[in-house]
Amino acid sequence: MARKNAPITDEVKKRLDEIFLENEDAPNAEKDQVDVQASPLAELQSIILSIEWEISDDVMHRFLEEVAKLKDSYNGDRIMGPFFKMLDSLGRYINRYKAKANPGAIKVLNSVYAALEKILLSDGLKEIEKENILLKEVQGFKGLKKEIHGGKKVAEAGGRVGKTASELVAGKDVSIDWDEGQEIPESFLAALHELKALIRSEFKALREDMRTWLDEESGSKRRSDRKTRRK
Amino acid sequence: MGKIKGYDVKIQLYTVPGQVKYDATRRLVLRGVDGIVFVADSMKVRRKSNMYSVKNLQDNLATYKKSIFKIPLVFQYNKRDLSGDGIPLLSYETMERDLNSRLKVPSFEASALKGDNVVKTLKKIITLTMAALEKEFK
Repeated sequence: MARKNAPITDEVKKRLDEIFLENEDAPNAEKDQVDVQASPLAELQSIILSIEWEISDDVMHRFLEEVAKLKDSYNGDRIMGPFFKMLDSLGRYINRYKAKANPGAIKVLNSVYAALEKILLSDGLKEIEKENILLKEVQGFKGLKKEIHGGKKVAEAGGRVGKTASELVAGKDVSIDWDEGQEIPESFLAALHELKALIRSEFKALREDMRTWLDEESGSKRRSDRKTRRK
Repeated sequence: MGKIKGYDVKIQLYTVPGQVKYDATRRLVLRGVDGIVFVADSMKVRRKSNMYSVKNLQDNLATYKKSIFKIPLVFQYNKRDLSGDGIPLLSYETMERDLNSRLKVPSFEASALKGDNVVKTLKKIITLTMAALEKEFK
């Protein structure tokens, strides 16, 4: 057993040695790969690997198309439905913000996909187990949304965490649209109002200047006309 | 990895491409990074690209107010197996001088294809990252 005051590195090294020893007897990764290739997720998996390579418009477009296709084929499936909704929503968000997206978005995307793959490819998973996997992903997804919205929805989302998987997968509680609920920071709104007010006052001053200038112009024109008529 | 000294440790590994045109992915992943393995190509023809990439890494980290001198970093000099195929490779000393003379971080000669030193590199970066995080949380 590790000493209490020993540096963390000792324990990490020990654990890593154990892990890599365990992995020598790990199941064949190639076999798992074959399973995915023969499944409806083959194309989606390849696109997700491409996203890891680069987030381009083309890759994201293919991703959203593939998710839409899968969403249609699993239409009405109360477990798979929310998975595709989350993937679609994450895809749209990453596509929109690319390198400026929250770094957690890629982690959540990978996690949602891995869970989806597990549910789809594991034989004999009970309904409750599937629901629990989904619940975990929905919570991760909501955590990301909360982080992106700057913690503004903490109280609201906190109230929802206690819901059961069945309630969540029932549908309506899984609100996962980035645009809906996308809140604009107060500071930005204040700056915007200030800018609007500044522009308004500048225009007002400009209008007054123009009016004065026009009055002076027409006054001098009238005076000049009168002089001409007298001549 | 389970619980280590009271911390629930999860390791997430991301691979990013080194080419210039893939800057968007690199920058996004770098935003949330705790530790980095810089995989350098040992081929002689890649000497300049390696140096450029380290500079790019430094710049990208700087945009997130992170310092290349402070973040846990390990160099892996990849493709060492190609020496057997008659392909001109940079010597370990040259790569150290080009990339690691100021940083002075751990480095390994490796072959991703054969698996030589891959696990060793991974173990090193995990250990360094954990030590840095522990220091940060204290």
